[in-house]
Amino acid sequence: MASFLSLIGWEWFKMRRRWAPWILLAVIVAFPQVVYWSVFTFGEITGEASEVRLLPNSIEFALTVGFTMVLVSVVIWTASALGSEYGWGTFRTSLAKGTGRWQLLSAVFVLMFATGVAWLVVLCLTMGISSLIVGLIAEGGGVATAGEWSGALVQLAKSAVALAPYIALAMLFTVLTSSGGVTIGITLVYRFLVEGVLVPILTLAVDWFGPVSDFVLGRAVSGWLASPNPDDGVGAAMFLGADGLLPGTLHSLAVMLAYTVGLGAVALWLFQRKDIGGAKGP
Amino acid sequence: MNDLVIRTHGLTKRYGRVLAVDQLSLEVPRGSVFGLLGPNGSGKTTVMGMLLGLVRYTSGSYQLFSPDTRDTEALRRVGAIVETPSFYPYLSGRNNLKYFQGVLGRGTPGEIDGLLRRVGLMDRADDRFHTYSLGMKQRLGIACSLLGNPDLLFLDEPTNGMDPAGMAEVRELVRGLGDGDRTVLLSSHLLHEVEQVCDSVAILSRGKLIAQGAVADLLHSNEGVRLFTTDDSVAQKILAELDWVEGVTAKGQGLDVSAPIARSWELTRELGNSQVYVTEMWPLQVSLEQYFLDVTAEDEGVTQ
Repeated sequence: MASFLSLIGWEWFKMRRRWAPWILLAVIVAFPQVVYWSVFTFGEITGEASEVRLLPNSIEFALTVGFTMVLVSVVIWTASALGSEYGWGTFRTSLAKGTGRWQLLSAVFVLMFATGVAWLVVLCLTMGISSLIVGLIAEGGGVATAGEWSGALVQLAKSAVALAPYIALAMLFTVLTSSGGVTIGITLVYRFLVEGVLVPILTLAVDWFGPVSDFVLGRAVSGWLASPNPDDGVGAAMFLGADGLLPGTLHSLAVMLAYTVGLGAVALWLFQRKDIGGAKGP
Repeated sequence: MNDLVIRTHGLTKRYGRVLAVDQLSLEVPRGSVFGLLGPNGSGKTTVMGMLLGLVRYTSGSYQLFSPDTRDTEALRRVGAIVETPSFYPYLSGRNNLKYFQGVLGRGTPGEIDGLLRRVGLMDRADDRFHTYSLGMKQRLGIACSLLGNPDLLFLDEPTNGMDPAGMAEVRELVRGLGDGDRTVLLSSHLLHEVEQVCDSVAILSRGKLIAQGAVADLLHSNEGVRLFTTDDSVAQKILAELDWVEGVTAKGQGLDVSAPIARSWELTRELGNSQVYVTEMWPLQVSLEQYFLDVTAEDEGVTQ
């Protein structure tokens, strides 16, 4: 266990020196801030909206607006980090030093998950700071009267859990194709075209596809994030079933867990079996 | 296995219909510099890849150190450069070594400066890897392979891209590394370099092992003399009948006789007994390069 933790530490040593995670973090933080300040500066603030702009409700607002950005970023970062190892041939140097293959890939998974969680936390913290500033200048104080901190924390934890299956998916495609660029393309097409367009169309158009779609990852993630209010999740409208509902909490969690374990196991199995080549190009 | 650090038995690698390595049975003794020779595409890098666990073998088996040493445990005692050294381009040379030392879990921070100094990279240690020349990359690769003071080194074309002075330095370094208990498996297409630093060699041709042994033994087995006599045609017949003479070939005005140089006095005696006299004689020095060209050409001929 100590050597595995040490391996994660050394992965972090090398990855934190790249620009990509910091650029992605900047985008993750900036987008919800732009939305927040635009809506609450220029929009008409009445009733519920005046509560949403204050802590702790603003945390849930940040997670709702920023989750997809974090999800896409974590896919890009996973594919880029692993794809670069293939491109530079550095897997070869690490593995020739006796690093176990499953230990190395598992360490990358843990690190990517930790990075995703860290991004979500920074997203919430920066939104919290903005809310405090708004609270200072808003009427009625800096904290919403109807908000609950536990609700914000639960939403943060649920968002973090929902990243895991997509990290496993990106890892699998990168190991399969040995290319970060191809993986980013495939994963984003899967998320936005297959899950976001094809699945909803098939769900409405084909009777037998309704029950099948309950096992599609995107619907499970949406159901998980939306619970216990199945009509206000991230992209909920896109993922509603033929009955107008999202899958339940336990069902969604089970599906996400199955995807994470299944995709992760296939990625590890493939990584164990594939030959590791040298650097591509000069 | 006490005297052997690497033993392969029928090791085979097939890429679809291409047989990259064919039934390789190799024995590398401990404490030597062992050369792995072969033309391009003969399977040298694939063999190294299989021994390092980077390339899955199709059939056969291999052992590093001893039969009870697990793969990852064995690899922690191995240092390697395979093809071009692969490092993180955005990290400095020093940070690359720090990372791989951390991954290896052996050695001390002070070891890194010592290695950088040893390979002559101390001045550029904090520059990013992508700014290094090919020769500097090779030097960093050698430094990385020495992290943790390994018992076995795999060096695949370690002087690739280096200037003559750098090549001489690395040659000395490799020679020194093979002293004592450490074993170096060196792959190179520079045969004079191999001849200078290797104790033993194995020659591969199209994935097959076609010769293996101590460099001195291989070259002695191909030694001979060139003779000029008063009657070459009679001399050829007389010498061809001697059972310890491997071959006699007429070449221009003289004869090339494949026989131990130490017994050349017996050649002159046999010819003198038949009234044929030697007018001139000198030893034929077979270089490793010539030996290599002969055996690989022989193998090509057999296959064709």
